[in-house]
Amino acid sequence: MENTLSTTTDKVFLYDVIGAQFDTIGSKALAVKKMLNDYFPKNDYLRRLGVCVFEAEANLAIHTIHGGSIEVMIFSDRVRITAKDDGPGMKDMKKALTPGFSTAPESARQLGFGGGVGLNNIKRFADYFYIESSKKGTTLIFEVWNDDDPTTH
Amino acid sequence: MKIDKICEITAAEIIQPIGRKDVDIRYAFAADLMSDTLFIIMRDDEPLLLITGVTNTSVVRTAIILDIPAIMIVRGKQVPEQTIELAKENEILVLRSSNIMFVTCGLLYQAGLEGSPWKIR
Amino acid sequence: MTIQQLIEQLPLQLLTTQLNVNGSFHDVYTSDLLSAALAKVTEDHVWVTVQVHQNILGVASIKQAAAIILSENLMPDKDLVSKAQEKGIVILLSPYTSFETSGMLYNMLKEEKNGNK
Ligand SMILES: Nc1ncnc2c1ncn2[C@@H]1O[C@H](COP(=O)(O)OP(=O)(O)OP(=O)(O)O)[C@@H](O)[C@H]1O
Ligand SMILES: [Mg+2]
Repeated sequence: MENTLSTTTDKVFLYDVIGAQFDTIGSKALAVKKMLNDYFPKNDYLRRLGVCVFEAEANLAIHTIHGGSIEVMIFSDRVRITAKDDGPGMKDMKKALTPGFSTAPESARQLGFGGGVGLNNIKRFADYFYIESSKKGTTLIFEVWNDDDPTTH
Repeated sequence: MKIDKICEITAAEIIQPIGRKDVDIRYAFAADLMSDTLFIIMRDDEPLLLITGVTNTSVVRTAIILDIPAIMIVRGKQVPEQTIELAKENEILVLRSSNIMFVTCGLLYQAGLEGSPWKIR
Repeated sequence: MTIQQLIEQLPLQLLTTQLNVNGSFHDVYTSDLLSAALAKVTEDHVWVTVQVHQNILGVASIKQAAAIILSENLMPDKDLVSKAQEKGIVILLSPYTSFETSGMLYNMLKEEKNGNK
């Protein structure tokens, strides 16, 4: 994964996610999936990516104060997503990555969120996963590679 | 299994009929948690029915992300107008049964729908 | 049907190994919504879910559920299992999804009913 984070591209798209707004969760993920269809018209690849973006979006909407942003960078063989927010951050990263652990409020649970497996889904479906968090905010970076591309491996 | 057959077996009504009405459903998956549903990635493109007790718009978005053609709402729950609208726009069928999730699963499993081909954690 | 029979027939893995499994049940409730389970589960029920949040123990103990079945081999953390053991709540692990687990249980209960006639 030597060059994973060093390649440059001019295909960058930015999406804003509003904080504490649960009823639009998934709309940015859908927009990303539709947009990417022009670049990677492959159902299986788009599903994997869509799932990861959905989880990242849900976390920005549910667990942050002001929401955040989702940046989508498109390369020939992969897509890199960066989800950023400005707090409050994760109190305990290890716990946050444990399946079943969730601080989602009851109002989000009623809507089907808060199973505590979202980050694990991303980890599972992404080919590269990085997360850092402090009181100042959380940054999540992941990549999903288009495996069919012979240049990937 | 055809949508009409699924409705017959579970005593369900079609509350959003615009979509792939003659799709042949092979798999079913039942969950109220979006992340659990999102965990299910179908490797092949065989159609799946999502059985759930959650009725907000995120259910429809989850279905679209996973290319799921039909959603079955259980417990006869009232479905918000926005959910129906979003499903209509994206041609996702919405069915509703007054049975609880357990019975809905039982009837469809017995009638031959398969569990989704998920990968073990 | 007893929990013991359930474990053998499906088969399931018993996580709360210190608890006895002589209890019986006659019905099943499948849901990942705590509020729905809180409303519908009784001492006659086995509850099927993928929720592994600590709160499931609260619901199961208030409603005295006969057992909780966790689908998809969703292994909860040790803490949850030891708390369940303290509270006397039987926790079982199913290798199947909630749809399949429910489907199999439905058939089993039906056969049992027919057999008893
Ligand atoms: N951007 C974030 N800022 C602060 N905390 C976060 C953020 N993202 C996740 N967390 C914390 O990590 C926990 C686990 O996140 P994860 O996405 O795995 O599960 P969840 O969002 O609680 O439930 P699910 O995703 O299954 O609906 C959250 O409950 C929350 O405490
Ligand atoms: Mg999440």
